[in-house]
Amino acid sequence: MEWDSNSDLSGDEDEGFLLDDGGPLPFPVPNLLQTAPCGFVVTDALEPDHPIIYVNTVFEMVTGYRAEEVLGRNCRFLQCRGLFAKRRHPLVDSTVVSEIRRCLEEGIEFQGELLNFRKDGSPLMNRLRLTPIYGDDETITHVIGIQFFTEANIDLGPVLGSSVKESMKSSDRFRSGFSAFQPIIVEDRNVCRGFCGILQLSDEVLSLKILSRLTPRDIASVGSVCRRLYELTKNEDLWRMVCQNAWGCETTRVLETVPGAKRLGWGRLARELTTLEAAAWRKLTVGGAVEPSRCNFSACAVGNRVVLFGGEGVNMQPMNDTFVLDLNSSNPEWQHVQVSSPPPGRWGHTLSCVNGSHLVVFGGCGRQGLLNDVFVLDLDAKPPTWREISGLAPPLPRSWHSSCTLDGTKLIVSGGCADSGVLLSDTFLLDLSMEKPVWREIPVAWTPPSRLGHTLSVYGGRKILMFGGLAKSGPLRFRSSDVFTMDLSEEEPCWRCVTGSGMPGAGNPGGIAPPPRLDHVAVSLPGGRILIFGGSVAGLHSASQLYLLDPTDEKPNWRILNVPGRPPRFAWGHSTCVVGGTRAIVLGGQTGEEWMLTELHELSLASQLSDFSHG
Amino acid sequence: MAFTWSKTIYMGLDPIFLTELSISIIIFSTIASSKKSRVSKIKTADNEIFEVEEAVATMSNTIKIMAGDCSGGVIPLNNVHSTIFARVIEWCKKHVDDGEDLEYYKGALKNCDATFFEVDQAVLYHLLTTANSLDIKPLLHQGCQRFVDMINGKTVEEIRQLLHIKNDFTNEEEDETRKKLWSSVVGMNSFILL
Repeated sequence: MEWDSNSDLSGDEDEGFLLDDGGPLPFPVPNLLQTAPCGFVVTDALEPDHPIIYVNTVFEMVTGYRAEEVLGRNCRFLQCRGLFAKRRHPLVDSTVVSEIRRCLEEGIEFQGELLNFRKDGSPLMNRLRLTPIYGDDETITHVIGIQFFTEANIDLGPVLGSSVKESMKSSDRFRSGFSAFQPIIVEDRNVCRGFCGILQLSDEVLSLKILSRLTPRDIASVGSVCRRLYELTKNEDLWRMVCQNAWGCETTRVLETVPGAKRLGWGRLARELTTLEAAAWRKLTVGGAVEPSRCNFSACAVGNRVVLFGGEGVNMQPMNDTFVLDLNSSNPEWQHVQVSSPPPGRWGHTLSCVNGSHLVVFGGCGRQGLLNDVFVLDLDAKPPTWREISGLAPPLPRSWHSSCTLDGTKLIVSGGCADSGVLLSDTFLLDLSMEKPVWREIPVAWTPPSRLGHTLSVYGGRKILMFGGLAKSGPLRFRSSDVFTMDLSEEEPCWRCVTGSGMPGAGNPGGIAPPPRLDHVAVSLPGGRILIFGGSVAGLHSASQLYLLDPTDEKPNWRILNVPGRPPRFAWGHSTCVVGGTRAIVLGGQTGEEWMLTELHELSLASQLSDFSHG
Repeated sequence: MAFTWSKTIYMGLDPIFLTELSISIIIFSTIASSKKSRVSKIKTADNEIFEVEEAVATMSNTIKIMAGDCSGGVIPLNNVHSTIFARVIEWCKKHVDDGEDLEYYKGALKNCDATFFEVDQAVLYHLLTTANSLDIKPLLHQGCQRFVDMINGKTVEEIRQLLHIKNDFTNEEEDETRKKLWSSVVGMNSFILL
């Protein structure tokens, strides 16, 4: 058994893995082990039908099934005899199976004995012990199965060979293999009893009206059902429709901005962005320089170009220059953009992408104090031009607020620090698709505690998620790890805790929450999940640990995501941007102070086909 | 009915009165015939005749076009059976005033139409193909959504059972598809315990 209680999780860079508890199992390991070698299986109790996520080598050796053959499946396949059987062998005691089900439902330990079969069909007696593992908040996150296998002295007759698989429809053939026993036909899985309506439909109706509305995961399952569905689900146009329906038009549009040569294809992209199996940290070296050097600038991506504006120079003076880094080119390098009439210099402002290829700057701390002006940069104009938007009734001037873009056209700003250091908790919306944009405050009955340095992420079309920041708590301020959401498609939007509770402070997600922080990075993944890392973290926690949350779950849970590659030691929200929907580019980040913007860290969420062209 | 002026003078009746009378007769007969065409007559493949309000029947774009061609006669539907057509008309009667917003129909599937689609696969299939050939978009949308809801979140084996689909892969092909199974846990290649 491969127990290594001294191994350090974060040091393992060669394999990706996921843990819900982030630490040693909460039970003493030796008590569970028998002296003889036994099989060890771990299943994920949070996923439907308890899929296996780990088996040890003893399991593999004794049962004859390799790990990759069984991962993702429920253990009940051990009750089927032979490779091609799809239902439980009649000799398997169904009362024991019911007992297992009862114990799992009640969350208690099971001990008992059950007939199992090796891959080659030979019988095994499995003395089984199932132990539920509880996560932080009393929900079962995993089930551990300890299996003590012994030979079973039962004569079963020959195992049905492969030639019989095709003719298993005929119940006569089937019965001849088990002549001594009456088969208990619970559900006859190999015979299609009943009319198959769906496959009678035309390819067009099937693809356009049914398959295109399934989630990426469901399409992947459907593709494994039968040959015709396998062929239909290989179609790239279908996958594009699936992605668009599942992730929304805006996300799909951003993903399409990556040039064709580097595109993975929608099928593979959907898979990788759902399973995150290809996520990795990389390092990029670029040319050029951002000079004079500065901190507290803001960066945002337009297509494959990273744009940087402003910042705080030496002597704390606010800067107003614009730099662009084109990641499309074979040798990307920082270039200073000559603009006429740039906005007044500032730091602590927000820079967001809007209307496709425009960037909007709001707020920040300028030479004469805090600002609340709005400037839009048209990067594709010749020459690129900043233009002031004079919106009526702007919000209070502020810095270190958070912003996001809704529908690709509406700027949302919230919170931040106003004059005299007061923290704000308001939310304003500016519709930049209008001729004359007007600021509109979103009226709410209750707001979360006011804060600065938090993040706003858009998910599920018109919902926003607020996380973290330095929040007001009475006369004091603490780093926060609270999550709040608001649905802007409602008539009267209101802030809620992400668990859905309307009571303030009543519910944060379960699982291991990220340590409280401000000025962190929040990446919105297609499908609604949010990835959090970086920032100024309370205590001695690493800022490069990745945390994942799906606010659309019934019971949202934080999960830790470990990916291969070396992460940056630091990552700041204001200087990190997401390129093409799949790459989070971290500027700076090796130390807290130094701003060498030629060494970038990138968290790529999907495979990059251009890997081999970079030196 | 046309009255010539000569006849009216001959009959000694006031021509203006007769004009008004003939106009009102023409108008009356037009009203009468339009009242008649408010009911559509539809004949299904098994020679059953359905008398359906025009507004209900023309929810089907196909029937709407055919009614134009038949001008008041019986509309023949050669590939729709009466049992299925009866169900379709029942659905149309319920939704005659509901417009074309497909999002509304998606919601209605969970409410007033929830039991309409709890039928066996053969009936569901015929409902869908009839909705398609009769071009009743909201009905087709709902029927397809029913299949989407049946598949949502199910494993491969559950989908096969629910939809009565036979597994026609060879062993090798099945091994290949199993290798391509999306890992159910995010970002995981192996599970390591401390």
